[in-house]
Amino acid sequence: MAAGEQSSGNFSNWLRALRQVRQEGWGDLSGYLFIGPAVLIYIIFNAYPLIRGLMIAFSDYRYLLPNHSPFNGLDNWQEMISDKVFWESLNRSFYYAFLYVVLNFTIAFFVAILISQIKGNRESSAYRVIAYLPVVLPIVIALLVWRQIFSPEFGYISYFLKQVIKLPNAPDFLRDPAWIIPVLATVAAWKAVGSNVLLMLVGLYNINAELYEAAAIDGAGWWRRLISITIPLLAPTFTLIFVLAAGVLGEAEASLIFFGLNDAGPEGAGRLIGRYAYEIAFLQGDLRWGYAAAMNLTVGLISMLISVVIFRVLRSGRV
Amino acid sequence: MQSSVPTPQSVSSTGATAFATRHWLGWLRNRLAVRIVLWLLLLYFLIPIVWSISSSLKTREELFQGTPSLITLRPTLANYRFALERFKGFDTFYRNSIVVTLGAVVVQTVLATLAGYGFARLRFKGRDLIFYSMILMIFIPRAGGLMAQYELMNFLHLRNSLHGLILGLSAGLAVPCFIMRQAFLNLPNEFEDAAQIDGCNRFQAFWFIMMPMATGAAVVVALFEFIRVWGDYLYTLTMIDDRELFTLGIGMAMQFIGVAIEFGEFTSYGAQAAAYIMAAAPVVIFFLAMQRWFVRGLMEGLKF
Repeated sequence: MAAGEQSSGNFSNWLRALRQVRQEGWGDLSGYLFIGPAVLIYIIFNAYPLIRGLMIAFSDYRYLLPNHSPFNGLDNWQEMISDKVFWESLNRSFYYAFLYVVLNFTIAFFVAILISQIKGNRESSAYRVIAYLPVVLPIVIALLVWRQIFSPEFGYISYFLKQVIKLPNAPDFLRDPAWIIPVLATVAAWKAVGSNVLLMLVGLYNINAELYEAAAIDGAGWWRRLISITIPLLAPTFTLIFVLAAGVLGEAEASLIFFGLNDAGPEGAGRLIGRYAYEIAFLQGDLRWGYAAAMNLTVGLISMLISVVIFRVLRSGRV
Repeated sequence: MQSSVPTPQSVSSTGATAFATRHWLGWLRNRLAVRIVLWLLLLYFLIPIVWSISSSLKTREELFQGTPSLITLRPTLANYRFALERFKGFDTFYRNSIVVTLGAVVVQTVLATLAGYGFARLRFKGRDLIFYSMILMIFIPRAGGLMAQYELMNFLHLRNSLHGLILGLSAGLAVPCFIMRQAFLNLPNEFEDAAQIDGCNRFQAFWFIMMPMATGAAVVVALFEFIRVWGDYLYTLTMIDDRELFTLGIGMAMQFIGVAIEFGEFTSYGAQAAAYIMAAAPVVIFFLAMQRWFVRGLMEGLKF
């Protein structure tokens, strides 16, 4: 049930539906009434902007200049290649995404394994709720709270480092350029782990218990059982999680909330690629939508590419 | 068809109980060890929330002592009073958030339920084509979407307004429709046939028979959307200019971030924490109330 399978399954379904349309009878017209409102809203507020957005990416549409939207093909990309800030931000985003995925995945994995060990249904339900709680919090609140925790004056972390571990020079997490990305990644991962815990639990609960018992009888220790049974059988779940996580590359919200709209962090260290695109589009200069859209498209395509690669690799490795 | 989430009793993830029941000491150690490690990890999730709650209840002296502590010895509601008095516009932000969130949730749930029924149970030309087109669009990379929406909303004169916000936030109907369609597909056909024999028209059959049975899925959709819209930041930020129309997310970000790391008017982190708690409370309470449905729906729904 990986997202890749979903999309290929859906694509073939779509093709089949396309072929069927000609032969289909008009059928029950009231059906159109049922789907009408939803489809209408979808087309106006979702499908149309999607297509228009792609069109904008190939033009030099500057919002503040009236009537200035010449089609300029691939010029946006030419400019992008030589844009230093673009490459900086892109690298930062890769770094961010890497930390995010590692933290998210490992913590979710451990928590899921442990929860799956709990026998009581009520109890494990409580644990699941606790794990999912950060996901429910609004992103703004989560970032603000963590900002407090990391704050050098009042925060628990600097207190902990200074007093309990007696570290002489605790870094100022919020103002030190080197620590910004790890901090952002930590908070974002904290917020998202819960969903992955649930996803992994579904995968874990679907593993047949008899496999473990058989292995135990054959003398396999818990480590061996983990490596040879749990992980291989969780491969589809892992795939789904990684594929979903590839989209984090285009993340802009966290940086915008954390530093506000006018400040990209100390020495610009908080400028991820998503944020840079937003700055170009809505915050700076002529509001160059064309350029920003081209940037978003590039990042989107890179994410898609990564997803496809991950999907191929993980699927072929474990059939 | 009753598919229940496989309960933990049916899994013995590392064959622990099979082996350990023979050695009661090992059994005890295993159960305990798992729980200890699990609680350590769960603290990771809980500490920021607990910290906020306790900060919001601390007295002035406790807040300004050198060592930030996790528990408060003399809880007080003074911070809440301070936040409510001094946080200009808090009630406006709150009201806007409630309006927008309820609006978007109702619109999406209703529309998705109707559409899900249509896609699942009725036959008409192009039904599957429309449905799968909606699904496939999820996989197209988004570029310039926010800008195009800005342009569109401006054109429709819906931009700087709450109802425009509700419509815009209700646009992500592909997944809710998918979930509702799945739910209706899983219901047996016999009820509909019986209703038709009894002379119901389409809509009556839907309203009185099918919909009540799909309530679980509708609740899941509503919950998901509530959580998403209550915490929305980027879309609202882009669309709204007037301060009176800000929702909680924007309002809190403006209030507490604009002045860099210092706290400006809100000189104590306890008062800030009180504001955070009040802002997060509705969605957390709603989640806790609905969580059994929600978690089960999420985990079951993944077995399509």
